[in-house]
Amino acid sequence: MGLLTFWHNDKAVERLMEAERQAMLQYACYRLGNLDDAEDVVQDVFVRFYQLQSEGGTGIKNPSAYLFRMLANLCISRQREAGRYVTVPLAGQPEPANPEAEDFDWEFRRINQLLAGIPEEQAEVIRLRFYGDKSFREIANILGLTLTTAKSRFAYGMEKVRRGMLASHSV
Amino acid sequence: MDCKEFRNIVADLFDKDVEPSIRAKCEEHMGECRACRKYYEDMLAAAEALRPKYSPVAENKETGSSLPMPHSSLFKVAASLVGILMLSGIALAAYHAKSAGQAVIEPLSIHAMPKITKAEWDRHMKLLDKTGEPTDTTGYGDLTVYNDLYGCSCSWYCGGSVKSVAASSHLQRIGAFSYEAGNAHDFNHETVWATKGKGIGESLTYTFEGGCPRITKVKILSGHVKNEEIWRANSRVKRLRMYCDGKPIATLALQDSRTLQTFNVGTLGYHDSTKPDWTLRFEILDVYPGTRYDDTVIAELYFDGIDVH
Repeated sequence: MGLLTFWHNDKAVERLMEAERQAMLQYACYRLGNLDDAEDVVQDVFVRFYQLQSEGGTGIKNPSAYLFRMLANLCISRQREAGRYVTVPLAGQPEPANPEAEDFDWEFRRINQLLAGIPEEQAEVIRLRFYGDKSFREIANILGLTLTTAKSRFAYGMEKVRRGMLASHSV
Repeated sequence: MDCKEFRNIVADLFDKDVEPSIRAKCEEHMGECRACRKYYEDMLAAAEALRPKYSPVAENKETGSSLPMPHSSLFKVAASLVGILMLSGIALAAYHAKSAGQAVIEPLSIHAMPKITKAEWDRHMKLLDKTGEPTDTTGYGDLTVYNDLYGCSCSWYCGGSVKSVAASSHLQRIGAFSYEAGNAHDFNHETVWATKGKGIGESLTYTFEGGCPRITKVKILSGHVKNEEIWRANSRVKRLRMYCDGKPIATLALQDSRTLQTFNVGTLGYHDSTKPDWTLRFEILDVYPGTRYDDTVIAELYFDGIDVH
């Protein structure tokens, strides 16, 4: 009976992983700057999650939000461990030598430069919205915020990005 | 709605699923307030700048390759988790066997349909030609869509052209009304391509010559946009997968609104007459159901691009 219960849990975890996997990989890619590290950290999250499940469940109310919270924390830890927490100058955007040269590395630098000019709490909501493909309600669950706070952090963050872009275009 | 209220809820337009009532209110306000429309378009531009376009996750899907097992993580926990991994092996295998998804592109800009009919627009333009004086356009709403379709300004079509348009199916002609593929690219928002059946899995294929100027944007009038009632009655496209020469390159996420939605799709094509013909196919993945009819409708799907002027 115990094994049967575990099997049902395992199938549920499998479905959850399938549902969340791409968004988690994409979020991790745009936190860490490369696919290898992103795969590694997402795998770490899944293994830890399996471990929690095998220990009889943890009373996690919202597994999807829990996965993302764990992922965000692991990404930050990885960046700190590697001593490469993303810091970029506030002025100017990196422009490729020619448009054909645009690729993920260039985009990662450009996006981090745009987000570097805004408070981290606002940047995180934007990351979860665009790279984690989460709704504001889901973001509020992940970050333990009210829905109104999640939306306002997004709006303030986007407003600052918008002003930053307008300022850089007017230079 | 006033400007203050608009700016308080404009973030809602960037949510994953936007409430139709909020969208309608915002569009109505933007139709009357240029400053708020500009504000929203600047926000859209910021969102576009932040959205992933070169995600390696998407590339991985395109090549169809499965993800490699991240060894370091497994080795790190293997000793303590052998039992768990044995049980979870099936799940992990399934996890790695399926490839990642593609880039999802949301609209770069959105323009509501004008509040006047095509016939009224024609009268307005005739009067303009005759007198040379701009007429009072109060109450006309946003005229961008008509200017884009029927105006005389330069566009990608000054040098670019579509060789042919074909559809996987179309609704049978009813009296004088046809629903063939060509209607989606005839620059007449009142004629439409309608699918036979619900539309999921149906597609439109555009063929271009190798020498055709390159494409950077796809513009879509989703649904029977001629008027609000008929637009609601028929199904509209929710997600459209885009294939270039048979290879999936992106998924366009359309909003459920009676608007012209423009998508930035990167640079597509050759602009090289030595190259062969190439195709863009748009496959319907999901729809917003109509209130009266099952068939899914696209009024116009056309392009903007470079290499022309």
